[in-house]
Amino acid sequence: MEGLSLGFYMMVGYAQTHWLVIALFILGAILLNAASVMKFGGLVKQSALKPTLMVGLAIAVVLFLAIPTLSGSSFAFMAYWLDWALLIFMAVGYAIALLLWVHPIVRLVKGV
Amino acid sequence: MSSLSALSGINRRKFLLGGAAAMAAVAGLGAIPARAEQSNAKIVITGAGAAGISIANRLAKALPNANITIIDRRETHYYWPGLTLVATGAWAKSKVLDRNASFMPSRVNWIKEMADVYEPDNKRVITDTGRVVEYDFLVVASGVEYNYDAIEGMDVNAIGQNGLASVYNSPDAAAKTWDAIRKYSVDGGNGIFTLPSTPIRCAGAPLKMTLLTLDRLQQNGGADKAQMSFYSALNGVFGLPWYNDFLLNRFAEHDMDVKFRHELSAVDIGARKATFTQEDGNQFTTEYDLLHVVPPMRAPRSVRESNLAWTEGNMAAGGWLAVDRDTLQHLTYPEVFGCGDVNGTPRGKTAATVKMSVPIVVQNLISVIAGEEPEATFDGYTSCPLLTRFGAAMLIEFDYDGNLTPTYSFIDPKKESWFAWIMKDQMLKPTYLQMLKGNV
Ligand SMILES: Cc1cc2nc3c(=O)[nH]c(=O)nc-3n(C[C@H](O)[C@H](O)[C@H](O)COP(=O)(O)OP(=O)(O)OC[C@H]3O[C@@H](n4cnc5c(N)ncnc54)[C@H](O)[C@@H]3O)c2cc1C
Repeated sequence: MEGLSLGFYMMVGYAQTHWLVIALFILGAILLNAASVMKFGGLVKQSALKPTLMVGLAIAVVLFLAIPTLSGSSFAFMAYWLDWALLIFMAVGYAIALLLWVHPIVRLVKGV
Repeated sequence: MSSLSALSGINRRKFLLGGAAAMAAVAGLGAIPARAEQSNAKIVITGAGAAGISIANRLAKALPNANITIIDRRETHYYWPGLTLVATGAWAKSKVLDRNASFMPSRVNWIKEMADVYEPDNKRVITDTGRVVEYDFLVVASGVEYNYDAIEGMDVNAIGQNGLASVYNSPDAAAKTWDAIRKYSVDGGNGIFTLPSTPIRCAGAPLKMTLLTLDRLQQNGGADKAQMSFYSALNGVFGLPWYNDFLLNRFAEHDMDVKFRHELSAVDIGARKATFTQEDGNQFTTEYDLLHVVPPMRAPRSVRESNLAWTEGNMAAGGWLAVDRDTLQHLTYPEVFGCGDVNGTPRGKTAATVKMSVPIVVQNLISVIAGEEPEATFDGYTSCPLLTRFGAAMLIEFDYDGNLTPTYSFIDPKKESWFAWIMKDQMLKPTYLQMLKGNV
């Protein structure tokens, strides 16, 4: 229980520390989605889903490869299962969040 | 308007107390005895560092009527645990600086002066401007004093020049230490890292500095031209046997010269010479290209010279605060508690210790205010993310007896991991700030 509460506040603290990035990300997502909804209607378009997921997958792969170096580390030091679990969690997590940008961008580019 | 009148219709005091109980629950405290909740006790906290601010926030939430005062002149908040990363070039200095005002609860009276004299028999503290501050309850949280003067010839203003380094003194000193280490990591030469015989805050910091400098030598090309040494004034380099052996093996892999029972006693900064005193009193002097000084530490003078300090036992020499190691209540003055590095308790002296002991101190203080016995006990939790190289670390957590007490059982404390590095590099500062606010 104590571990859970600590984990929760860790995430709250992390979000507070990076509030500007998070705010800009949310603002960007709102603007992009608003633009695509106004132009083509509907929040999610089936025809844009496949390319959205492909781009999301590509982002996850790039992040998976880049995060160790970006965090001042390297694959050579990832010797523990927890390291791999965290790396996958971070790469997939950020990629899923970025779908909020990718989907409207794909729609605007494809015109759907 | 109607809700305002409704509010004035119910008993405002009850409303406030209900709110306080809710806030206390949020702060992780148990039920607050009514006598404490209603108390308008004068509570004085000396020190607005990690422990002082965190306690002030929790008390402000739990005791709506208490009169809380905090005494500390320092307005800039130092995130000390980040200094090792500043001193090894991984973080900018600005990342460890904050404003105390951002964390200070609004209803706390902040006296921007230093506690000069403690008069526990008269229940008062006299500040360095002569102001007399009376209290019903006192929490001493004034940290440590660096005793650089115990090293003859040492001058903190020279840190960063002539190969002189010391991460401890301040964020400025940490940044200047990086200047010295960066140069050394390119040029190589004779690098000496020291460990004093006194209790120190974050016993892992001198080791992190050593290991990260080894890494910088590899990165910047100085490794082949460098000979590193670690001179410990103790019988080892770390208090837990498994980690002591791990570190000595790591040092051996880098052909480091390790000496025990050698205390840095003098330094000739201009000539780059360090003098060590051995256990038998013999001294020897050696030249260096990089000297990383870890100062002997003791309680701040105002505590050391007061009736609050230990007068016997191994904590007396440093004048550390004489508190019970379980309840953190003063051994002679029951209305006095201690929290943080100033405490004369075994191990500890980490921000993680502060995180775990603040709720104990607050809970016990509330019990005493309510006329009850303090019952919450502290197990001595100490934690130190040991940075073994850039990109890898070990999360070491242990109690008074040296038993490993990992918060998350799935993290093996004896494994170097990137996970632990991410915790240190990304997550611990946000967690620390939550601690200051009284949330964790
Ligand atoms: C280089 C370094 C690395 C560290 N690394 C880690 C780490 O990785 N993990 C970890 O958990 N911990 C680490 N620590 C330890 C951690 O920072 C301390 O244990 C923690 O800050 C202690 O909190 P405190 O409130 O007792 O002291 P402080 O945070 O130092 O606060 C003490 C306050 O008391 C004030 N004060 C002093 N004298 C008086 C007086 N006479 N009157 C009024 N106020 C006074 C000071 O101005 C200061 O604001 C590290 C420390 C250092 C220096």
